[in-house]
Amino acid sequence: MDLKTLTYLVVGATFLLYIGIAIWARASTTREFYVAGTGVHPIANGMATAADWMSAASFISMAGLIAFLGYDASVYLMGWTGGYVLLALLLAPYLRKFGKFTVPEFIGERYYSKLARLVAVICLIVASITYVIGQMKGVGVAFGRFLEVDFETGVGVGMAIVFVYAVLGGMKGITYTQIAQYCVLIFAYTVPAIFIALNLTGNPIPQLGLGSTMNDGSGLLLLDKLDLIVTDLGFRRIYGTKRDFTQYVLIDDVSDDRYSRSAPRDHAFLHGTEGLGCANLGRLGTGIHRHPVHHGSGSWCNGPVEPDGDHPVGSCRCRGWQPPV
Amino acid sequence: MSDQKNRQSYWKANLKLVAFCLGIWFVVSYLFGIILVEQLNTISIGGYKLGFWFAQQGSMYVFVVLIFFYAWRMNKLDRKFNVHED
Repeated sequence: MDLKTLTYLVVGATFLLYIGIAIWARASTTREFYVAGTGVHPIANGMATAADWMSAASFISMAGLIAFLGYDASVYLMGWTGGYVLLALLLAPYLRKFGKFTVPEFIGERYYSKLARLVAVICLIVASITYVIGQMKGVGVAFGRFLEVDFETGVGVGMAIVFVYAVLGGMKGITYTQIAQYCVLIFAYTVPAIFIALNLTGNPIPQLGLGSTMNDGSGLLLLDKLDLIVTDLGFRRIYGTKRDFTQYVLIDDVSDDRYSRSAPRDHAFLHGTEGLGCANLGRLGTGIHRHPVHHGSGSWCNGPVEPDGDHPVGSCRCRGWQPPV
Repeated sequence: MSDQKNRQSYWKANLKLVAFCLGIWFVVSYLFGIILVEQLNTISIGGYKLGFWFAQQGSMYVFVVLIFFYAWRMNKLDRKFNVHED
């Protein structure tokens, strides 16, 4: 069986599971539709909420943000999770005790005002649409890749599935499909994390592995190594922003005396790239080279990068060099 | 009257609990994770710099513990003032 059939089978099976759950958990009363008849066990509810946390935005975007921004992306982590504390302490208990189904209903009743209710509805729609746009982008990307269709079709497929289980099952359907999603997601998150941690540090617990030493014999801490790699690649430091972006990748057009300074040049040289490989630098595209370089020359590299045979191993040549600004 | 008084002291205890929890919430995230991060980064525990650890992991652990703690204390409070659901 080739990979494509396998993908269709696995994705199809999960779709069937979600729709099956929606039909099984079909809502028959308003109470069931909005609050799942208040009959969901706290653990199950917790699993569904956790599935909310591990959405497309976390799965796809947050990992990337942390890789790109290092420490600075911690605000997303703390905001994402800290928000749940606010929700649990300031909103959820009162909403439950008030006995109303939705936030606008609660606001309308609490402040004796139809206008307040309307404002709450508008706020909710604005917030939801913003959120859904982000999620749908993720859904389109993920489905487009798995099913090998265009982005638009991917979004369409995702929307159709969500529509079926949300309309049929209401909150009960959503909660139970989310429990299924939780199991899938936690598995998909944990397995690679454990193996990466084992591979890099020999420690199977990822949370501890991040703070351990590398097992490649260098004796470096994983975080220090990570810091070195991302700064070598021109990204920000994992720990903070103290070191200069460009310190490691130097675009050195001065030391190369085969070219006189006045002659037109179509490339510059990248030094300090040992161990990275030019292909990796090239793959990063323009993102890394656009920063003004050392040597005070202020030249930029904005073209493809290739190995430079005339230079020591690790040096790369940059096509599409821009003169000093 | 005593019912009214009872409700007032229930509400007061509730607010106190919320304030306590949000205080810790602020300290671990804003204070340790953002404001004092440079100072805490001079201390290393295991392979982590402390400030970085709070921002990336520590505050999350505390958040989870906070939610459980709040639920536990609130249930106790509900029982004490006889307003519990089950």
